[in-house]
Amino acid sequence: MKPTLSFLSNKEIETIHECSLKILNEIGMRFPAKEALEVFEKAGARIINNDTVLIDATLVNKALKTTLKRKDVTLFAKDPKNDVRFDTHDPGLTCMTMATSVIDPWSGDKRPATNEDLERLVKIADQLVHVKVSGGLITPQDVDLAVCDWHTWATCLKNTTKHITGGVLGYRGVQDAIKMGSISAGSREAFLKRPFISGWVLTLPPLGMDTESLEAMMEMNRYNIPIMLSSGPILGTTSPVTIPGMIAQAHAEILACITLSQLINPGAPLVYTSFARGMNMKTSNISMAGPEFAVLKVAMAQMGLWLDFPIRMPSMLRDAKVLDAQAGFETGMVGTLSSFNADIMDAMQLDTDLVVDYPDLIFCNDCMEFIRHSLRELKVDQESLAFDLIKEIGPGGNYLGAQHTFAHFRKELWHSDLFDHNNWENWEKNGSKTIRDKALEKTYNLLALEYQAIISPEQSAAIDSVVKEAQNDLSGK
Amino acid sequence: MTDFNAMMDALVACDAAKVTSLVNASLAEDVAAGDILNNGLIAGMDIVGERMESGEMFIPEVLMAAKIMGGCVDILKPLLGEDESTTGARVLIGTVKGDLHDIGKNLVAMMMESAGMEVHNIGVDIAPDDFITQIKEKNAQIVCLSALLTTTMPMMKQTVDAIVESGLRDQVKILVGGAPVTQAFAEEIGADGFAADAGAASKLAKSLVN
Repeated sequence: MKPTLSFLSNKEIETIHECSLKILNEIGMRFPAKEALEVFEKAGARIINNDTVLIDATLVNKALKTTLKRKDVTLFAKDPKNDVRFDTHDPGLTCMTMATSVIDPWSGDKRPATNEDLERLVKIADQLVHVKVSGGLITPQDVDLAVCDWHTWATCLKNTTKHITGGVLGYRGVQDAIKMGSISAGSREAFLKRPFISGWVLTLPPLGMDTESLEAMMEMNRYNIPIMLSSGPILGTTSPVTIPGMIAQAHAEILACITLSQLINPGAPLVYTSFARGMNMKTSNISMAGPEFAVLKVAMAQMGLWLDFPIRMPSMLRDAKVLDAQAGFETGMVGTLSSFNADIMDAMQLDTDLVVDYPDLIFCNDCMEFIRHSLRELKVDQESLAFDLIKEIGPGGNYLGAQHTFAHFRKELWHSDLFDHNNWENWEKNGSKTIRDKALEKTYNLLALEYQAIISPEQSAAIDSVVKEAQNDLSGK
Repeated sequence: MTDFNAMMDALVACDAAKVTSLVNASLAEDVAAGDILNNGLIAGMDIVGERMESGEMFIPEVLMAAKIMGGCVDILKPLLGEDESTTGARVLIGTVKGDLHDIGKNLVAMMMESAGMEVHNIGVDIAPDDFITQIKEKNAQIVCLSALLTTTMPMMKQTVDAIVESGLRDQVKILVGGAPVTQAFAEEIGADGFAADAGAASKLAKSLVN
């Protein structure tokens, strides 16, 4: 069987879901955008206090009926072989976004991230088999910050053939991302048929949302661009400190957004996500890797799976500052627990989500392989039981030379060339390297590869002019 | 025209049927058995060895390739001249007295066999005198002593000393190995070599007799 992990029983999931519906019906959620309020009102929802929408269960249930279920959702990629589907549970990584610093791969110093870093990181991520979804791991700090998201989309679109996810704000943000995607796809029609981008939608807990995120969400819904829909409250700060209460509130916020999305466009695709997290009550620092973070990822994923949605959960964002023992344990614990239920997992950032260390990409990719191997399905059948072989080898024998061993060992045993499984002598002979040393060497190798351009110079220039136009319109405003 | 490259590739790919049919086809074309052995099979196993060292091939694959080669050598044997069919170094391997561990030792034996050596694996809990008897009987060139327990490491020294006293020391090279054993310990007790893993042990044994 395939191993599973649950922190909530079906009965408890239903109880929480009922509580979420009650929250939406009796307390409501703020939707500070004219279009959203009009759409809700037209559908029969009650508006109080100018922008707070009370949504009754009938409306939510109607919306849940039109949403796309796991088997119907595809995160398209520029190269169709990189399409991400959710028919089966096959966990992989997605680039987290918006870190502001990198650890320079040559000097080892921490410094502000640049657009050149982004290009390099996207190219490296493109080579890693377990990175299923690409994106702006860093937001370039050396560009006009008013349009840093535009630069991020531009650089990603120019350098990866995988699905790209990232932040978009306002109607304009979505329209320009579509413009840039259409240039890459060759035409607007081709792009909208297989939109190979998705956009983050973050609620503003408790029970609110900012105007620009809201407008971006509705615009994406209209064009069937998948939304990565997250509510990420902070325990004891923007939600109750008790986990079930937080889940009820976060789930309510997600349900409210789903309802709006389906009113805008029935069948608009979404991926269920949650950045639900804790806060250190001594320092007020957010934790994206502690035990409660891991528990929340599992439990929130259960809520989403119960409604049959694809699941994305942030999982390899370490509170650790460098690739040390803390980073390793955080990666293993949160990554493994999340992988039981989530399909794609945000990864490859340190210092919560602020710093990218180049070799960490390689590290996370190998950890993902480790985890995938740990969570694989065990098949109990004649071939795997191998009774005849046990009989043939007999007491005191050795299986190493057996045809059965030869036929199965590569699949049964995980062989990493990053994790050290040598004895001390060979480890020493190979330079006594740490895992970061080895990952850094691999990073240099990937950086030295010759990358074929995925779009023409003309397309690249056309994408740049979309950014330039946005800069002219938005800079300084 | 015999394509030794194809034979080597098939051996590296552990494709038993293909290697065997290429060997038979070569014999049908009157290619000398010694040429097939040296230019096809042994040359192929050399690549296998390299691939193992570079991490591309794994132990079960090396053993499989060796097994395939062994099957082909059986076909060739009647056709080989006497000097051509002599096998590699004669190795005696055992776990020293007081120690019953044999997984690592057996692994070393298998790797040496797959490298073409004539291996006599005499088991576990072997007293120094028994090693000496067996050296004489098998006319061994290499003696491999294994120990997993720190408490049985002194028995390695006693075994080496006994070999010296028996007057056989010059006839054999002595290798030691096992989890607690180190290069420094090997030197301290007067052994000729130490290897940290099975692949290295096999390589070291080969280099010591050539």
